[in-house]
Amino acid sequence: MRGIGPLLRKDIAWGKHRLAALLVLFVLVPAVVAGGTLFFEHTLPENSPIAITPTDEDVTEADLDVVRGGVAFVSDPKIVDSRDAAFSQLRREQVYAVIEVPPGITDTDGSATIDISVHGSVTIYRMPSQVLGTMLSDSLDEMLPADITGERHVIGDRKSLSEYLLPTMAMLVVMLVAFAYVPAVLAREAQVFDRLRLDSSLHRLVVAKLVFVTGLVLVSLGVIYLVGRLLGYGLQPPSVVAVGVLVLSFLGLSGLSISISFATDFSDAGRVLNVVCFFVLVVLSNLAYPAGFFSPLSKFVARHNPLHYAMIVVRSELLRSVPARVYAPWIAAVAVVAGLSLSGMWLMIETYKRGH
Amino acid sequence: MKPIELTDVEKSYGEATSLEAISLSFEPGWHIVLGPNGAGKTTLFRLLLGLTDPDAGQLSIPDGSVGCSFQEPQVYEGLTVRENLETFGEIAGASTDWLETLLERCGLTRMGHRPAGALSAGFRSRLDVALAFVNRPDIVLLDEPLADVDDEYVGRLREFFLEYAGPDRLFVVATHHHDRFIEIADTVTILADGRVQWTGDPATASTHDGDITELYRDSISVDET
Repeated sequence: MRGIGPLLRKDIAWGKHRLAALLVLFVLVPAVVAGGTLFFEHTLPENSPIAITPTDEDVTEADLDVVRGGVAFVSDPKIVDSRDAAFSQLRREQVYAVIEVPPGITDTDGSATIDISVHGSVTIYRMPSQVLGTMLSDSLDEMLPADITGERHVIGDRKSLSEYLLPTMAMLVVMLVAFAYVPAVLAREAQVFDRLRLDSSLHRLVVAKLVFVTGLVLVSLGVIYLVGRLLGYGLQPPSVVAVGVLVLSFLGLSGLSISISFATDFSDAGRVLNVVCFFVLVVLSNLAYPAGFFSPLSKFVARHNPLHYAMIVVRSELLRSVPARVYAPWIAAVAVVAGLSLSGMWLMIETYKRGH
Repeated sequence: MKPIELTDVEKSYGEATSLEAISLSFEPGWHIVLGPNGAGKTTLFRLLLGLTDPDAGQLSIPDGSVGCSFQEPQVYEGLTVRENLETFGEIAGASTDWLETLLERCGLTRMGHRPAGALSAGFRSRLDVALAFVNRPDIVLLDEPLADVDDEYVGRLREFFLEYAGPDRLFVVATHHHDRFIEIADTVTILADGRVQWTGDPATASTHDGDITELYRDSISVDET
């Protein structure tokens, strides 16, 4: 018996051959995970955008500015001139609350009520919005002679946290399939790439694979929806827009994961990199929490991430009855990004062919 | 059918030169490419299959379907033998009768229901050989086709190859088992270190009294020195 020495040296030799994968797994991943803490600064949504809008034309800029100052500690307020525009933004999760400011709050010594509206389907912001109301009342009472009361309203259907999370789970399944299942099944095909290229092509193979797995994704989305209905969740009927956006998201993410697989020659490093992409996108997309919930940085990144918008559209289609045309620019953006991702994948396959 | 022509073909992978100034011509018939491991046989095949392009020189491949068996069998391990043949047969537009013929001629009929991943090395090689013929190719490239096949079946497969070849088809067989195809070869090419050491009719290996085995050994040993 020679102890563990030879076996340990075998592992070291093995590690030398898989240096790239080990560097990704034990250097890049820990660095990304540690760096990821930058996105989490607050346990309250201190930077979530809210709209402050006048109830009529008599409201002055000074009135609006006072209210904005009163809620700046617990939100990222912006003034929206039109009430309709403010509520439209609320339905699209561009803002998470609308504060309606009545005229004369700065010069009356009587009492005034400020309405704070949140949407019932954005369950995760309902409780924090109570803090918003309290902060508003307290700070304005101190600053102004008038007795200011913040009155909170919940518009639209109230959804439970379970209902709210169902669309998020659907998106997570889509992401998991794109970054774990698709690269795995494609890697198994790599053993016959040369034979396939004789009478067919890698491009056709990948297209067939995407069509097949998209079918499987649709089955899993159907299962998620059915389970939601069986649990008594108040879901809207399944819509073409919701399914379409989930499929576009799947294709876009799969384009990225397949590109990584081909670029890394289906190596261990590529597999790990795809898992890293999954976690990074989960963190950076604010799939469940409102943008700005954790930090300004998290809001900035989420607001530049098409997956964040895809999630809002899917949630809206399943939980709210908002006309799909409202989301047309976002759906177009998601489609364009998916197209770019698939085009990149196409080029990556060409590059792979030239290198083999 | 026109011949396959290679003129001063070169191919490198990074710093490593795989083929150096190769000039060869393959007419319809039997062509054996002999060479030790690493001689450049597989690179030559990848060029002939159009899977990679030469870095320099000219390569002319006549029109016609091409079939290939690979040194490492390229089969779907998760599919059964029959499903493998059906999959590639459908891609190539092969008839069911032809697929049955291939199963029978390659001794795979009883293995039809077995997952390819559960086959022994010999049966996997036979399946890979069968897949080389699904598209009824005019040009057949066999890379170490019988390396793992037992002696009993080597003869039966060779019989099938000869029947299929007829006068018009072109077979190129790469091997380092120089004794298995020599007697049916129209030409023999000896590759070593990416260069052609000798090519011609094996019967004209006059300096070695027609003994290709000796010529092969000399070519390899010359190269190694």
